[in-house]
This record gives sequence, C-alpha cells and structure tokens, in this order.
Amino acid sequence: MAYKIDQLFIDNNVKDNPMTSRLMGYFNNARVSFGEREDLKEKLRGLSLMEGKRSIFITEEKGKAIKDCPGMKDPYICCRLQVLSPISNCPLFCSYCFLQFYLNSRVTTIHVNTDKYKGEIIDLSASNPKRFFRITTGELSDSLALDEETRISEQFIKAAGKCDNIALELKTKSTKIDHLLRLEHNGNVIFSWSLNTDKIAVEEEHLSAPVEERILAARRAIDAGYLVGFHFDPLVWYSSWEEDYRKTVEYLFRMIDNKHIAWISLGTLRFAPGMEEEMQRYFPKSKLPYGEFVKATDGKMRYVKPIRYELYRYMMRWIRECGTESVFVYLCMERPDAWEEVMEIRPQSKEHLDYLFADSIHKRFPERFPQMPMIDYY
Amino acid sequence: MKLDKSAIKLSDIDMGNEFFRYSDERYDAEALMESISYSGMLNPVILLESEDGYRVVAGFRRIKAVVKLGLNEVQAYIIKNKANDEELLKLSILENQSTRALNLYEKAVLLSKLKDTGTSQKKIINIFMPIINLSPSLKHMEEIMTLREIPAQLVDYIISKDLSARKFRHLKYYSGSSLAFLVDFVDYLNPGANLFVEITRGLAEVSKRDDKELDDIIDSQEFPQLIKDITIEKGKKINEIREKVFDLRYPVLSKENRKIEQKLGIINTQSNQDIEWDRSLEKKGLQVRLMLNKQEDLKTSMILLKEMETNQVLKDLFS
Repeated sequence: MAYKIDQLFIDNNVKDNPMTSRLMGYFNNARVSFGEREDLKEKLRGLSLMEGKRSIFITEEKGKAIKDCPGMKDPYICCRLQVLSPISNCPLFCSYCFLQFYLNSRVTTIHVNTDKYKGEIIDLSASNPKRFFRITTGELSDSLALDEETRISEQFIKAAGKCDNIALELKTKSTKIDHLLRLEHNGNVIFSWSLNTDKIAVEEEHLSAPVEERILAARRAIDAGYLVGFHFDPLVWYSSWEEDYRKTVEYLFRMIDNKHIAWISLGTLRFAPGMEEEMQRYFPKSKLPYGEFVKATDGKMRYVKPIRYELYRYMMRWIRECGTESVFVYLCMERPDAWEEVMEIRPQSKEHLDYLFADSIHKRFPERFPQMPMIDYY
Repeated sequence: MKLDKSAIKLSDIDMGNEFFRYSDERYDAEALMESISYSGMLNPVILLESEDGYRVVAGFRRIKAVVKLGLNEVQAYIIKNKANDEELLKLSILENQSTRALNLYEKAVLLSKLKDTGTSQKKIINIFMPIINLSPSLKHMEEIMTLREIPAQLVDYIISKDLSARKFRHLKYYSGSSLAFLVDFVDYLNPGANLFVEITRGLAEVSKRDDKELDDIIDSQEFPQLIKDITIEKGKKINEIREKVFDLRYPVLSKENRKIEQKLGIINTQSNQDIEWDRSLEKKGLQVRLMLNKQEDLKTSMILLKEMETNQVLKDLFS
C-alpha cells in the first residue's frame, strides 16, 4: 500500500543525502520545505495528528543510534532488546499505538545518516563478543512500512551479516518484503509480524495488511531463508476473542512450519493513562478504551490480571497444541507472577530472560547461531 | 481604541441586545449588588455608541445590579469609533478579566459567541483561549463546549463542584431522558464530585462499549426509581448506584472480588480485625489488620491467623 504523503520537511544538513533524493522522487507530489533542523522541529510541533500522518521529516540522527529498549521498571521483566530507530513514528494508523500520541513529534521522522547506525551495530557486536544481541528497528516505527522507499533494512541486514552475535529483527504489520528476499544474508535476520484477530486488524490496525497476508508474507520470507517471529501483541479481550484468536493461531501453524520460527511473544493491550481519551477522540468507533483496565504498578493501564492471565493461558495452550514445544514463547513487559502463572519458563531477571533467548536460538538454530551462550556474559 | 468616560442614563442603554453577553448573572450577583451599594461602581462599564443609544459591550451584570438597586445612571467608557464584533469581544474579555475570573460556563458561552462572530477556529484557539486562561487546543475547546449542551441544573452542579472539563467531557454522550436522569441525580442526591464523575463516566463507557443507549442502561438498572425512593437513605442510594455501575463497567473484576469476599466471609473476624486486599487485583496478597487494645486481643489475633492458615478455602486463594 502506498501512503499518502502531502509534505516533506527536509533538514538542510541532509538535503544532498542520496536517500533524501530518493524519498523526494517517491513522494514527488508532496510539498517540500527545507530548513534548519531546529526550526523545522518547532514547525512540526504544531501539526495535528492527521497532518503528521501525511508528513515526513527527513533529518539525521545526532545522538546514540542504538539504545536499550525503554523496557520496564521492576518488577516487570524486559527482554533487553536493543532498539535502532532510523525511523520514528509510523505511517500506519493503529488505534492503540502510543507512538502517534506520545512521541515529541507526530510526524514520521526518517534519519538518513544510516552509516552511523551500521557503525553502531558493528560496535555493539564487538563490545561483548560473548553475548548474543537482539536488535530491532521496529520499536519506534514499523520496520518495513516505508522500507521500499528508504531501503534502510537492506543496509542493516548487510551490517548485521558481519556479526555472528547479532540477530536483527524486522518487526512489521506490512507485507512489503519482496525487495529484501533476494538479498544475500547470513541467516541472522528475523522477519517478525504482529498478529491479531481479523476483527482487531480490520477495526483497529488501519492501513496495515490483513492478517492472512502477513502470514503469507512470512512464508515468502522463510522461502528466502530467513527466520520468522510472531508477536501476538496487543491481545485484546472482547466477546468472541477465544474463537477468533484460536482461528488466527491455527491458521498461522497451518501455513508456517514452526521449525522456522525464532520466537513468539504475547502481550496484552496496555497504554499510558490518558491515551484512552486520545483513542476516543481519533477512533470514536473503537471499543478498546472501554476494556477492564487498572493502573498497574508501572503506571500503565493494563487489563485486570484475571483477564491478562486468561488471554495468556489460552494462547499458550493453543500455540502448544499446534506442536510447537520447542518454539520460544515469551511475555512482553509482564510481571514475574504472570510468568509463574502461565508460562513454562520463569526468568529471574531481564538478564536471565536475555540469556534464555540466546540459549533457545542457539540450540534450535546452531548453524545460524553457533556460539553457545554463557550466562556470565548476560 | 480610544474610550471616553462619562455618566450614562440607564434609559439610553439598549439592554435587549445581549450579543456581547457571556456572563451569567446567577453567579455572584448578590455580592456584586452589595459591593455597588457600599462603594459605588468601581469599574465603569463599556458601552458602544449607536444611532439609538448605547449597546453594552462589558458590564451586563453591573448594569443589572444598578437597575435592581434603583439607580438611574452608570459610569461608562464609551466607544465612539467603529470596531468589529471580534475586537469588541476581545475588549470585553480583557475588561472582565481585570475584575474577576470567568467560570467555565461563561467561557463556553464566550467561545460560542466568538464562533458566531465568524472568528476563525485557529484564532479562537490560539489567541482567545489563552486570554481566558484555557489551554489552547481544539480538544479542550470541544470539552468545554459540552456545557452548552446540558441542562442548566447540571451546569450549576459542575460549576459549584469546580469540575475541570476533562471530568465532564463524557456528558456529551448523554441526551434526552438520560440527561433528565442526571438532573434528578444531582438534584435528589447531590453526590460528591468524584462519585458523580465515576458514575456518569462509567455509564457512558458501558454505553459505548456495548453499543447500548444510555437511557436503556439507566432504565434497566431502575436508577430513576431508586433515586426517588424515599424509603432509602441518600448515602445508600448513591452507594447502590455506584456498585451497580461498577459491576456493569468492570464485570470480571467485580466477579473476582466477589469470589474473594465469599471466601473470606467464612472467616470469623472480630471488630478489631480486618482483612483487606488490593481490589484492583494487581498486587498479590491479603492485608490483615489487627488492633491490639488489650492482652486478650493477642489471643483472638492468633486464633484468626491460625484459622487462616488451616482453612482450605483460603489456601485456594493463595494458589
């Protein structure tokens, strides 16, 4: 799907960057404004959500390119994913997404100085050769929604290919992967899709690909030699959730051989207090703001525990019923007691969970990740 | 804008033209009369000279007070040169701001008037809202405008409880008989502000979640009958409504809490003993409070803890 972009705001510092020229070519119907970075940032602050969705700010990353996942405060267990954000904010329009409401700018920002990112991937790998790092570009944006236009992932796949202790995860709700399928890669790239029920995808994940197409795209990625991952996140509680999620899980494992699945995550709907008001305002038909939420100890609104546990428990059961005993399934941003209640593994800390990832992927895919992890390095 | 000050006869003022009026005479009217009666009008009103006399730009409440006090004239600043309605409204706002803060309802009326003058939405938000101490956003403007769509009794309640716009914005979902119910609700029960927000917001959210009319939800719970039932004490009625709304809004949480209540109900607690838990169920564990006033309380406390230790039903609670 092509996104409608009305305006490009271009930082003078990157006006000669090849990616800038390419983006101007792709979005040749958009109005273009050049300016100093800070002036443009100031101007962009005044844009509405809708104006922001239809604008792109092209600039450069000034600070550290790889960051720890904002993760969670104790007692929530974070998986220690490393986050690379060449793009922040997203052209997709999911009702529940915090990006569009809480990032400083509502505009999709593309940092075109990708050499900096590639350098930091290599540096991270060298900083602790005995540790296995997972890096994603899908935390502050969809990894692939604009990738045909930017061709950023291609550069990162090549950079990650030089590092034996790195797995690059490209998280997406799009199906725009074909430009990456013929690339040479060393097997350490994981294409992952956020999955949901058809109802949630249609009603809440606007501009995203249908669930079935996401799964079919995963098959194409597997055929090209990539590993895949799936994120059932956010799990949403509604009247027919059991039937609908079961259907998605069963369809997934009918279409995908689980021996190609690196990991699966589960996470229930959660958001910052006050975001329900934004959702009501911009997505008046959405039922999501009216769930049974409580303010959890991390300050986020989460479903009450009985609902969270039931969603996790059933999902785990259905996933395992599909013969996936060895696939690594984890909870995203949950408390230790949730792990105890519903999961097979019980990480003691975020470092331990990080190690369990490495252990699983090494044991299941030794030819791709030959280095045996040692817990002392985590 | 040049203004000349002079005394103007009340009979020369066109009181029927209320275009620039957004003040609500019900608020602070008596205090104003008392002040004028005691020390005269300290702040002259602002009048616009027209062919037939004068139109009031600022000072409607003061002029009303002067009329009620039986006086014949007012001190006024006179605008002689032509100015557009938007400029005059701005002048009026600035003049009013110098004497008192507008309440939220008056601000809502003012925002409507500005719209009526053809002032652009952008200008209203970015220029006028900050002048009247409102944060400049469309969302906030829409929230405040809710006050224009609800009955005066509810407006009075909201102003008297000093509710912020965020706390009554959901009232836009009420209409017809559900609004009439709210009028009765505040009229008969005068609930505290937090309870009012919790109950009215809860009902609105249930209506949105279930795609049900608010009227139907309220009727199905027999709330209109309940609030008028003279055999039930006021506090009990509010609690009953609150609990029912909570059950509707949080059915799973209510059910789980009830299960815990049932399990704990089998434990014999004394008046100095209390067992509580986090009713949001986010935190694990029970909190047992023991008030020890005399030696014997130690003994009864130990009995309670022993009973809790051995009771199978309670064991289930911890599993």
